[in-house]
Amino acid sequence: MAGLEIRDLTVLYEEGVAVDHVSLNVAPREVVAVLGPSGSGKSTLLRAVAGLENLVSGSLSWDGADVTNLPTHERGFVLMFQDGQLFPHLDVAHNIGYGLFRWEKAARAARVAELLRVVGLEGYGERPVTALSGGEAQRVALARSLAPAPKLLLLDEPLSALDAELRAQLGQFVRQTLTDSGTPALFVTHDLQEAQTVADRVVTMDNGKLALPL
Amino acid sequence: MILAAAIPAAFLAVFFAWPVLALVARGFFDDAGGFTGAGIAAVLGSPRTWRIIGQTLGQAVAGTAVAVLLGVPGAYVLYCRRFPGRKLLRALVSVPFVLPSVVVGVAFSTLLGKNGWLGFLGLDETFPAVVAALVFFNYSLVVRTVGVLWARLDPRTAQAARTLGASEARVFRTVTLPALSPAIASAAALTFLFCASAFGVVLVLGGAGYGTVETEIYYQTTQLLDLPAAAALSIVQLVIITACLLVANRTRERNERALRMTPPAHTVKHGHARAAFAVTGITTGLIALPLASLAYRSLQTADGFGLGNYLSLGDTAGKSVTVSVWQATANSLWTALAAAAVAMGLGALVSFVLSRSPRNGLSKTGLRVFDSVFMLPLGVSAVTVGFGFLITLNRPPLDLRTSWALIPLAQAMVALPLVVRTILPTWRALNPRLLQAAATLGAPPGRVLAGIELPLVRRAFGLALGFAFATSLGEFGATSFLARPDRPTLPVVVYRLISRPGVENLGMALAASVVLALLTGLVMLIAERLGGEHGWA
Repeated sequence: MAGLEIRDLTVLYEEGVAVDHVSLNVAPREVVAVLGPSGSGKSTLLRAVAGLENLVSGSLSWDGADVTNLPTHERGFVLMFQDGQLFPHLDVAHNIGYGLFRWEKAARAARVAELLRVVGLEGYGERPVTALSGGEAQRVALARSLAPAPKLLLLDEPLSALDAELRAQLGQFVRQTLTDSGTPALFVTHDLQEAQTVADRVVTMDNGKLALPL
Repeated sequence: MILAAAIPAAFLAVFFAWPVLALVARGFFDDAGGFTGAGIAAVLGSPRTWRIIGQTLGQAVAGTAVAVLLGVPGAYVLYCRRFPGRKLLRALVSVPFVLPSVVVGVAFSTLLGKNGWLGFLGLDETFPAVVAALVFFNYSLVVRTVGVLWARLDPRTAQAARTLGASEARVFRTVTLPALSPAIASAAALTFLFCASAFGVVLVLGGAGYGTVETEIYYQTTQLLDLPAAAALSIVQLVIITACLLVANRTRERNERALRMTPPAHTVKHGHARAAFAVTGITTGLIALPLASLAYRSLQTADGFGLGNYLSLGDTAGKSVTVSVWQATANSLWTALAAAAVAMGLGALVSFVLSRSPRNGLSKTGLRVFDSVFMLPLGVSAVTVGFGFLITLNRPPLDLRTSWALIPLAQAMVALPLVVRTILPTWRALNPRLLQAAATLGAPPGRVLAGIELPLVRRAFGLALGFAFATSLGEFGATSFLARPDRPTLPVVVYRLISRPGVENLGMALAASVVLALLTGLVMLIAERLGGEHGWA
């Protein structure tokens, strides 16, 4: 089947089962939100899809091809962290261009400029990332994640570090950006309203298990 | 990854494990090759050995206790309070830590000798003199380790205790001190380790009748030529040092945990603490004293005050050394450069391997073993390394006796743990999610290493290079065994000069010590610029 297919995925932490036999599909161009309280295992699920966790059981495939054992950097699934994780020693433009290292220099510059425009930060390219506000930093992180045109975008509570007003505003913006670029996404959040704003479909997760869709 | 682990492991096996094990074996076999415990038994049965073990432990306990008692108030004043001149004072107290031990020995004897400023105390060649020099060396280690944690403590915890009715003294005893205990324990364990393996400073300051296991090994080897006895003593030293190292490792882990749990707070703390300021003022004055004394005395010549001693550094004729001090300086610089290059190369590989966080259990265990193995040279005394080189690398399959490479290799082994301990904490402290973010953006591991990890740990590399170069420059323990008479290094020349009578020899030794101290200071100044503010765990 096309898109992402998660089958029977289980991740074990020392404290217990983090992800418990989870199965979920994300179709092309679809944005799926995983809603759950903290400690529900939703972030672990996302990290497992990115290849950052050891699986006890289960498989992952993309467009029907198995990717369970593919190393993270070969998957083409970009993970956007809650706190952005911008590279502190690189300026805004180099952060956004980081995933474009195989591109021609001129093409890379054009792509970075395009993304800066998309996230509304024209002229910010040479700023150090340490000088950005919280909202700006998350927009740079979003631009960096979209720049390599990922097969799938994994968003780990990208807005929860921001204040309420900015969160609502950026939620709309993320929705628009994902729709415009046609990027399928798996979006993790603990905020129902945010989930409904951003996603086409919302599933809930608790205690490592996926519940019925809302 | 495997290759990165294999290269330093092979180096360690050939240039550390083999010499040290050969040395240990020498203690258990007689000349005919038969196994015997007789050599060890003879050494352990001698009252002289037990006196020396007692002196080793005694000076280490005293040195550690005084360093901690003075260092804790120092940590408060230099890290938790702001006042004009704080930067300068911090720089001053950090100088001794990197000074060559021979220079420290010479500086203290000019101060405490019968013509010295403090000669009236009659402390020259006594136990208190050695302890004072050990404190001088390690004071900044305590100040730095404790100060870094203290500056991060949340002042609100103490404030809460104050509002509950506790006096300042009670708050210190019941709240602050327990919070600082991981750092104090870690600093004390490391200070004890350095005190118990001190060599150059004891050799120069201790005089006749006073010695430690380290100086005794040197004495048995070079004066009495009793290699089995020296080997047996090396085993004794190995046991003492391994025990220290185990304790030091445990306390270091606790301290790293405590540091991770306390985010840096930039609050200036209030309070009177006149006593802390007074103690620190006196201590820093006492630290400056031997250095000032050394500089002053180096300008005294037979015919008055002047640069005569420095001018004679170019001479060799009629003196007790066959090369000029400037030639020895050049030797030292080249040797230290080679040693620093080797130590940095290996240290970078070791730190790279140790900073990985594998996800499966077998690799985790392997990594832990690898970690302990590379801390061993920190514990094994430099004298043991030098002595081990002497008896193993002088015949096939590896005959380096006539090779210039012998000394830099030994110095690199001594510097390696310092390099790893400087780079590794920074590397390990890198946020793993930063590297995961790079991986999900499609960067293969090599790219993440070159583009993200190395730029972020670059400053620690600068500081480590400085440490490696400075310690190699002043390294005396291993080098004293290996330096050839016609190619001595600067510390070896200083020691030869002061071991011989004569005003001229002493004058030259003092001037050469100043040169060595200035070179080391310069190297560290550049390294601190490159490395910036940096804790050393």
